[in-house]
Formats: sequence, C-alpha cells, structure tokens
Amino acid sequence: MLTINDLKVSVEQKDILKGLSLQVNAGEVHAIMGPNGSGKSTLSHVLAGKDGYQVTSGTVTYKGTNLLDLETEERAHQGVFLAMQYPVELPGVNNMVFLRESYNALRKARGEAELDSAAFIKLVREKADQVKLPSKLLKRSVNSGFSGGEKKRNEILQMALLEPSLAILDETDSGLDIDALRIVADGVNQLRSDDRAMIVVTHYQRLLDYIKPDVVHVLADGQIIKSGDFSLARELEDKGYGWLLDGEAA
Amino acid sequence: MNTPANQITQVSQIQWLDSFKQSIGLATSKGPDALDLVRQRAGKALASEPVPFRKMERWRYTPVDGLFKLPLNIVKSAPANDRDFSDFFTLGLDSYRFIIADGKATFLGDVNNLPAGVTLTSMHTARQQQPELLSRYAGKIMNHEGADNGFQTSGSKKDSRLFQHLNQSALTDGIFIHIPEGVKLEKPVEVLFVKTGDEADLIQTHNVIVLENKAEMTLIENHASEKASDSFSNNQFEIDLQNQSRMKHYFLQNQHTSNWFRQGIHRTQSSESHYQGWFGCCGSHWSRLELNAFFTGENAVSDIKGIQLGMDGQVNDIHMDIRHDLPHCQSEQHFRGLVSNKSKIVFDGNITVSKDAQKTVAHLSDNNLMLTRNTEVDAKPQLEIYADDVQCSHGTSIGELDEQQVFYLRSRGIDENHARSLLSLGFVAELIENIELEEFRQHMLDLLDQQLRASQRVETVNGSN
Repeated sequence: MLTINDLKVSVEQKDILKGLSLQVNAGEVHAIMGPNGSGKSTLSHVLAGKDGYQVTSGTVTYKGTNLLDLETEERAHQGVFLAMQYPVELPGVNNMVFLRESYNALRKARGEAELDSAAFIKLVREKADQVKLPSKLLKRSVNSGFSGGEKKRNEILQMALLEPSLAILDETDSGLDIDALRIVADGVNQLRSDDRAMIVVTHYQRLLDYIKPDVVHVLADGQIIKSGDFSLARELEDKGYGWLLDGEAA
Repeated sequence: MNTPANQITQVSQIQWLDSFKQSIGLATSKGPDALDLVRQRAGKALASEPVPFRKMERWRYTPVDGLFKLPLNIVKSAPANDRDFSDFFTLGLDSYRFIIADGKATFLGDVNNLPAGVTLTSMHTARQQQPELLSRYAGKIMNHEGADNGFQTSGSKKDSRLFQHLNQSALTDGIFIHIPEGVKLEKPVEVLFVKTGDEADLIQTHNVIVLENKAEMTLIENHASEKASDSFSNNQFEIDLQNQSRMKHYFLQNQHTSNWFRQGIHRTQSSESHYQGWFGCCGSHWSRLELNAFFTGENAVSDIKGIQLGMDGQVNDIHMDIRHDLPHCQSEQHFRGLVSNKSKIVFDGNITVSKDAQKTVAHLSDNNLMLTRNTEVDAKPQLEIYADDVQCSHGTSIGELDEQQVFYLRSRGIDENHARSLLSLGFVAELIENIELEEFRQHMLDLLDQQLRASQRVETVNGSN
C-alpha cells in the first residue's frame, strides 16, 4: 500500500525528516509515536501534500505510483485521507455542503455518478449518528464554533464518509476525553479491512488501547528508531522515550 | 500631472458632454411645468460644474477619465415596443413589472387593477397625467438640504455633482411610484433596466418613489444588458419614506463587464419609517453607487447591506453618506467585497451624527477579500460624531484567503479553484443569508457561484501563461 524509502524533508532549510523508511501493507494499522518535535506532523503533512515542505530525497510509493507527484486533491481522489490535528474553521461554508462537495468530488474522480441530495443527506445522518456528532452541527459552518471534541468528531465523520484506502490520523486523540477517544477508536476500527491501511500518529498509548495497532513505530529526530508490536506501546508508556534516545546516543 | 489647469482643458475635450450640453439648450420645452424648472436649473448648473477628477477627495480612488473618452451617443432611439424581455425576469415572482429598455420606461401591469390610490407608472406618463403630484417630489428629495449631504459634508468644493446635474437636466424617463397613506402593496415591484444592442449610448433614468404615512412596499431593481457595449448608464433615484412607512429594496447590478454605470439613490426618512436595502454590485466595467440618506424624523431605521464584486478588470465603487441630524434614529451599514484579476474596489462610507442627534445607533462595517495579486481595495469608513450619547462603531478589513483553509478543502478532494470559490462564497455568505426574499437570495447565490468560478478560470489561464 505505502512504501516510504529514506525520506528526507526540510522546512525553511531546517531538516526535519532525516531518512525515514516505512512499509505499510493493506489491512494493517500502524501507530507512530514519538516525542515532540520528532517529525510526526511533518510526516502526516508531507503524505497529504501540504505546501511548505521540501522533500530533498527519498521516495514515497502509494499503490504503485509516486505519491509525491500528485496534487493534494489527487491524493484524496486516490484514497488518501488526513484527519487533522487542528481542523480549521471554514466560516460561511456550510458543513453539509462541504461534505457533499467532498464526497461527490471523490465519486467523480472514480468515474461514479454524484449522489443526489436526498440520498446524501440520509447517508450523512447515519454516519453522524455513528460518530455521535449532533445533527445541528451539519447545518452550521464547517468547524466554526465547534468544541475541540466536535471538531475531531467531524474529522472522523469525514473519514467514515469518504472511506479512504489510507487514513492518516495526526494526533486526533490530543485533547479528547475518554468518550471522544472511544468514538475516534470506533471510527478507525469500523473502517478496518483487508484493503485499507491506517497510520495513527499519537503521543499517548491510551488511544492505542482501543485500536490495537499491528505495528508500533518510534519516530525520533526524523527517523524511525524502533519498531515492534503493540507491546512496544506499553513499554513506552511505562518507560517514556528516554531509554530509546539514550540507546541511540550510545 | 493632473493639475486643475489640465482638467479645464480636458473638460472642453469631452465630446459627448459637450454634445449633451448643446442638446439641452436646443430641447423644446413642453411648457413651463415644475419639472421644466428643475431641468432648466440643473442645465444651468451643469454648464459650470467642474468635471470629477482625482484631486477631488470623493474621486481620489475612482478613475473616471476613461468615461469621458467614450464615444457616447447622447440621443438614443428607444427599442421597438414589441420586444420581449421576459427572460430577464428570472426570479419567478408574482410582481408588478416595469421594463426600462435603453431608458424608456413601460409599466407592464394593468393600471386599472392597482389598489386604490396607488400610482405605478413611468415618469413620462406621470408628467402628463399627474404633474402636480410628481412635481411635489421630483427634484425635491435629492435637492433636500439634508439629503444632499454628500456634497455638503465634503467641507470644500472638492467634489463634482456633474452626474446628478447631467441626470436632472435631461430628466428623462424612469419610474414613478406613489403609495398613499396606509396602503400595503402586497406584490413586490420588479424593475428591469436593460441596455439593448451594442451601441455606446448615454442612457439616463430618473426614478421617484414616495411612500406616504404607514405605506409599505418591496422594490426589486435589476440592471442588465443584452450585449457588450461601451454604454454609460446614469440613473438617479429619489425615495421619500414618510411616517411609519416601510420599504424593502433589493438591488442587483449585473450589467455586461464592458458597460459603465452610475446610480445615485437619495433617500429621506420621516419618523418611525423603516428602510431595508440590499445591494448586489456585481457587473459593469466601471460602476459607482452613491447611497445618501437623511432622517427628517425621529425613531427611523435604515438598514443597508451589500456586496461588491470585482472579478474581471472592473472598478466597483460605493460611496455612502448617512446623516443623523435628529435623535433616536438607527442606521446599519454592512458591506463585503471580493476582488480579483486586476479589479479594484472603492468603498467610501460616511456617517455623520450631528450634535442634536442623541441616542443615535449607527454601525458601519466593510470587509474585503483580495483573491489574487494585482488587485486594489480602497476602503475609507468615516464616522463623524458630534453628539455625546450615541452607540456607534465602524470597522474595515482587507485580507486574503487563508491557505490552511484551502489546503483543508483540497485534502478532501475538492480541486483548488473550487476550494477558493467555496471559501470566497463563504466570506459573503453571512450577508447573503440576510436577504429575506428567498428567490432573490437564491439568485444571488447562483450568480456569485457562477462568477467566482468563471473568475477562477480566468486566473488559471493567466497563471499558466
């Protein structure tokens, strides 16, 4: 599904990713953990195609094509989805309209007919129920005046609706209470299937307790310094990152 | 460069204006009725009126030279009567309809079927059939000592009333609406101003609307053109709202982007009258809307909102003068602008609160979004307050689309042009939602969506060159 090979990325002349390699197969859920400033968000943004990042070397292959050649919207058309750490507010852009434009843009890219308004509204209501997003928020401007938890739920709603092949969750769990965390985890677990892959970027083990990733990676100073199974997450929770970083230094 | 001396030379070089001045001198007077006096007075004033130019404060940001270089025909024969303009009435409303084709006004409804005492007619007909009634108002409202404040508050001679005089000295056709005391006109009045053909014509209309005490009506103005032309429309409205009357006014100017357009709306409001205006300024190569209001009674409310669009090398100018001389009146003024592709928006909003106008409530806001480089916005809100017990505020902003927002939409599969259109539309959505008349609101939404998308295509083509 996704192969990242020796990826080096800098932001304003500063090296952030320093030779990152990662292989994510269909059907797998990978967790990426790591201390602040290790490059977790940079990795998420580069995969989604955000401006402002210079890829200085390395390759990213997604479903056999060079992902870095694609525009942001083309990546979305190909099934890449980024749940943002800080979902922006879009004043004046109606949430329902936004969801429909997005949903139909993806259908159109796949050569499918657009879903009519009534069928779409029904679909969105179902999905909104699943993620416990109050339906009145569908009528408001996108994320405008939403609480932190509501914004994250709106992200998970979009993920549920767009059914991506590769979903990247960039610290979606930050600032959430236990209930909201469960909703995020349920969203991920419901999408889990043999033909999908997910990358869950997080600081904490808590979300992973609900998601149970197949692989856990530790990202530090722009490289993946350790990978393992779910028990690695437990270990990190107990011991912190210090022992790994020290080992690296030694 | 642009010295007054140069200007004076330039005045004599404005061919169409010179022809116009000669033509009014030669015009045969139909008799010395009151309107002839208005016309003659304006004609005299026109002869010595300075031509607007950049050194005048009110013309500083609005380039007007191009208008004077147009090869305008000053006499236009009206189009044939059997022309069908029904396609232009897109709102699908059950309304009283007027067509003003190339300046000639026709009321399409049945005059015998109007509520008792209501006058809906052309200026031309009113002059023949109701000269006394008409002469009570025509030329009086806009020359009202207070309503004419646009000229007075400038505090110097640095202004020009050329276009007002030009309009009044011709005193051509237009609509005349008079609603008698207590009558509520149920159906809205829809007026289509249409420029036919591709000739470069000077087209002028003069329109008078009077609502007597407790009268109510809704007016919808639509300014359109059939074809591209270097024509210049110079319209004037005079609106008098008497005690406790209520008027809703919807304005859409979506002429072809080769046309030149100017319209003045002078309004006086008596006690407890209520005016609600919504202005969609979208079309024309060059347009200037002058909104003047003056309260002649207490507890009157004026609520105006509007959007300015400059998408395709356009100049879009709104000049607004609201004057509070009496206590307890309220005025709301809220505008938003979208500008791209070598276009320019000028907004000059003035509110004057005199020392006797205690308990005035007045708010003014003007927010603009520059969608591309090579655009210009000149926003000048001015609040002059001489009373000490008022609630007033004003604010303007000029900004760009947030790239984080664009990225967010693109990451959801929405292509960049469409993302920018959606966000631009979102920027004006709050004002659009304020449109009470649903058909008009939907029409504005469709129109904006269409124009924003077209503008994005222009930008993409230019960008790839």
